[in-house]
Amino acid sequence: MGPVSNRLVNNLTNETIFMKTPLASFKFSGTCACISSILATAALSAAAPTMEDFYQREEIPLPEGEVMEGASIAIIDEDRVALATRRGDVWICKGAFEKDLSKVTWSKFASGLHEPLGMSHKDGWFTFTQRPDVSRMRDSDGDGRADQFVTVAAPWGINGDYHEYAFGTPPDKDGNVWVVLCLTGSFNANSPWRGWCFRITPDGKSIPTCSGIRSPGGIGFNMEGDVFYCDNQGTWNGSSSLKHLKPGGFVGNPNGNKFWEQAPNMGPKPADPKSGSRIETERKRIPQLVPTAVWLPHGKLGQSPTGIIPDHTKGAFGPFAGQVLVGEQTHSQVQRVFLEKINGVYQGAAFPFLGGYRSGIVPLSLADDGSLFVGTTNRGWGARGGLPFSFERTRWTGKVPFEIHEMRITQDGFELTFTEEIDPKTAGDKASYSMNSWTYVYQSGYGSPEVDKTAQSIESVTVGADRKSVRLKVANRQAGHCHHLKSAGVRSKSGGELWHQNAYYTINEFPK
Amino acid sequence: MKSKLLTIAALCGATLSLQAQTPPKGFEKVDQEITISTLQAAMKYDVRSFSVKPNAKVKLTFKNPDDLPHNLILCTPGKSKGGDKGKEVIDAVLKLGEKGVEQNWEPKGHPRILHSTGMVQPKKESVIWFRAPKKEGNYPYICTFPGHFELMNGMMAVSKRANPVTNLTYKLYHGKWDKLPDFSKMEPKKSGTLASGLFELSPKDRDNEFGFVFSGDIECPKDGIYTFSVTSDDGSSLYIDNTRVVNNDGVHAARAVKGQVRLKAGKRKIEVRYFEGSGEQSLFVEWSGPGVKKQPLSPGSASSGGSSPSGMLITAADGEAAIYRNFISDAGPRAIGVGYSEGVNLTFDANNMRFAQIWQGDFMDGARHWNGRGQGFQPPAGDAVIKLPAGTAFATLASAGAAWPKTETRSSEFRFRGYQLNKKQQPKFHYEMGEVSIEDTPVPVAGGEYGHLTRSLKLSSENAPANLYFRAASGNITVAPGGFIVNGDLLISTSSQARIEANELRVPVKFKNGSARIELTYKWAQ
Repeated sequence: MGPVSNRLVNNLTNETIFMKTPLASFKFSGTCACISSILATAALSAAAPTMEDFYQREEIPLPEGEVMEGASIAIIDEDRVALATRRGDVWICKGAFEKDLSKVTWSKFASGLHEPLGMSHKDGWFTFTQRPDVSRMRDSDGDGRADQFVTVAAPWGINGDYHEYAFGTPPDKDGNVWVVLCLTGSFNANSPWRGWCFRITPDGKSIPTCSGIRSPGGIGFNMEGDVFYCDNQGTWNGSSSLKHLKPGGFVGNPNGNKFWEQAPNMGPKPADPKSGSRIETERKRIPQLVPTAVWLPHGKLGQSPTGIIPDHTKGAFGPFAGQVLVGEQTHSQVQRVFLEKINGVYQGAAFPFLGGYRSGIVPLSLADDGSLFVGTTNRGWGARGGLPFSFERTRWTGKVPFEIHEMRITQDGFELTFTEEIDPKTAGDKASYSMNSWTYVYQSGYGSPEVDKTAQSIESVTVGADRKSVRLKVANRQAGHCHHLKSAGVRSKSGGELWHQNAYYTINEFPK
Repeated sequence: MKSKLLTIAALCGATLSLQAQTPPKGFEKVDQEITISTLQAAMKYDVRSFSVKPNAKVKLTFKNPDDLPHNLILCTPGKSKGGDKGKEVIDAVLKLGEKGVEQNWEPKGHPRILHSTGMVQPKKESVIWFRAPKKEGNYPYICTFPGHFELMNGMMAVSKRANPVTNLTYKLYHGKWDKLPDFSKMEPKKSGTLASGLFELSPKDRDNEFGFVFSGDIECPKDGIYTFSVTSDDGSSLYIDNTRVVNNDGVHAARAVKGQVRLKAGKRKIEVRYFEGSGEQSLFVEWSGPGVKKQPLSPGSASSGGSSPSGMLITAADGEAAIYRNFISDAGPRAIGVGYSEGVNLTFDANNMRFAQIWQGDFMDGARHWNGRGQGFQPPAGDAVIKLPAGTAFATLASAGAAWPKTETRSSEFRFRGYQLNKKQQPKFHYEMGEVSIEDTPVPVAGGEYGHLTRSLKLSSENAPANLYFRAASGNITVAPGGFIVNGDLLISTSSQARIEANELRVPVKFKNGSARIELTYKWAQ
């Protein structure tokens, strides 16, 4: 790979134009007699990496005739995975870790649960969150079917509105299950405690923990054990986003704040936010307001984020150990999020990651061996992929994709680390990068356009001595904005282009 | 009292039916009027089948222009589900022997007799008023005068799809056609009655190459233009008084064709012809007109192709129970439905710790909650639904007759603790009221025409409240042999001391050594 072809690639690698040129068709079909050999070489070198190179996605065969729309997943041991369905069944899949998935066997463990959107397993007990409560169940007589169902706590109200979902985490280090409660109709808090997050202690106490929730799609931990949930674009939420559930915090939608008085542990009730403002403005006025940790810009990076899990596998699932994976229902994808805490506030970058799943992902679960399980559904909310539901496993092939590994904010810009050694020439060229930013209106109306659009200029790039990082000096960064970094020109040492060029970094705080 | 009235007036009839020219109390307005007449010198009823809605108030006029005395006795479906046409009652008449004459050929008190017109002399008539049974099914009616039964019988279908089609019969043919043949020149393979008045393919005995001719009468309420629609796969046609109104002939996928006709009020002859080649098959008939909103005359819906079920019925595995936690009508958002394979069902309301309703037959249909986003409450799928009091089932009262605490959506006094399933997957519920722990165990009992439920409540407390009451039922409650009749449709019995207070059936909870028990039986009163 010589410098000539590299330069050609630079000029050509504008995503939109590139895809429309005959080069693209050459790239996929492998035949195009009319293109000169130099161009052909260039195109070959630019052949974009695909997921199959790095991650193997496989559908797990389901029992004939059963409808198994994914609601939650619990890893039981090194052989068995439990899948709870939206219809309220819990199935156990044996052989889910075998190389050959055609030999898995299924048995029905329980049925009749009420949309269990959160489940975990420990010491023979499943803990699960369903619409009406947090419960535990187990098979006490060893016949393979659950017989003991114990309600742990049910502090919230439901009234028959389909939107009144409850999503729950596995128990945290203290044994508490964190539950987020969708607003009634996703708009109001007509039933008690809608729009709240509770911690449910092992002995059944209910601790009001946060308010401000609108319509969650999932809840989970980062590696540090802090709790996050995904909220969908809607009222008081300009775009779908990942939000930090900081105990005592208010995460944005004020419709559930009327229950604040009933939660003395929460401290003083927050002031009402002003519709039409910005979160960045309102959080200066409302100290309880926890700003959105990471925007998942609506339409650009999915549009219905769901389950959240940390990659705890220390490398078994590839180079992103310690980061957070986020499910996506409409686009049937998995996004990747790098989180950091600046001045005590979470923020970070979201990257596109996995895709091509057969229906919309709701739950996801990662086993110690690096097997990622996802449950999917397109019922009620459409999704890509063509199937009404599926249960799929994804494993790392062992080949490291060339990606931005982490994106950190610095005093004067951002630091990027890469999964592979970089080509210092392209990675050190500020023309290889571009950045622009925007935010969303914080308003009582539904969603928001991208507003306050700002262009950032990359003033300089410094390649790290390790040849695996760069420091970008960036002018005009904006607090409260989602910063879209495009690293189209960056090449690896071996000349490969990035699997994903786009990153979306949300700034809440600048390092002091 | 009842038998005395019957004897003196020479009327007859079972529970809650009355023979009178003027409507009895509560029947000033009825849901359905039906007139059945004998045919002169023919030993037949002119209406051989009709349908009514469950629990409908019915006025039945029985006319006898014949020269012999006749009666009309309406029977329960019995073990054969109506298949014996009521012959069991006829057998009982024969056993009356010489007593038959003085009893007017009626085996009084026979368990299968629902209602009777009494023996009606030539040129006379009799009117009876009754509530239709709550349970869907085929209820035969018969003349019990010796020797009449073989020809003088008919069928009343109790159905949610009750409709104005009477005397509906079918003839099934075999053959391979690509358009409707002249069935009149063929020999039917099979024929029978569809008492439900519903045009349907269920009597078919094969899946390809068959045809049907359905014929019956339809009651047009007013003069005017009527619209008939037939959706079929493959071909069909519909005739009113021998004139073709709908032509949907030929081989095709499910397709709807409409036709209109001006009709005079009264009974018109209706005939539907149908054939199936191979593959998918369906038939769905619908009508509308003056005084008739669009009314299906087939099971299912046009989109589901009529004959194939569109629902998602949830059924218990053989010998087991099925659980369905969801939003269930009249049982609240924290409802736990339990469907037993014994054919009885209940919902437990985990907001207020009560049995919300019990019913028979099909359990629940998942179609509402398992399609789309699943908004709203789903009613029980079966029939004979009996609602139990809303609000909490337990309360502490200042006195036995004090008003029950006002109903809340969800009582904060209670805490639901879950349930335990036995080997048959039948739940035992567990909940708490303050310091009282309660185990609530329903048990289905199979047997007889209808199964029933027993229920055992076990309470324990270190600190038992002195004035705790259990509310078993509310409404119009009367003392009856073996228990209490509630609103005429539920028989509750209990070994505990129970009393009627403020239109409620209340059981005082008496603790002994920290525990108390209440045993209950819930039966459908018939």
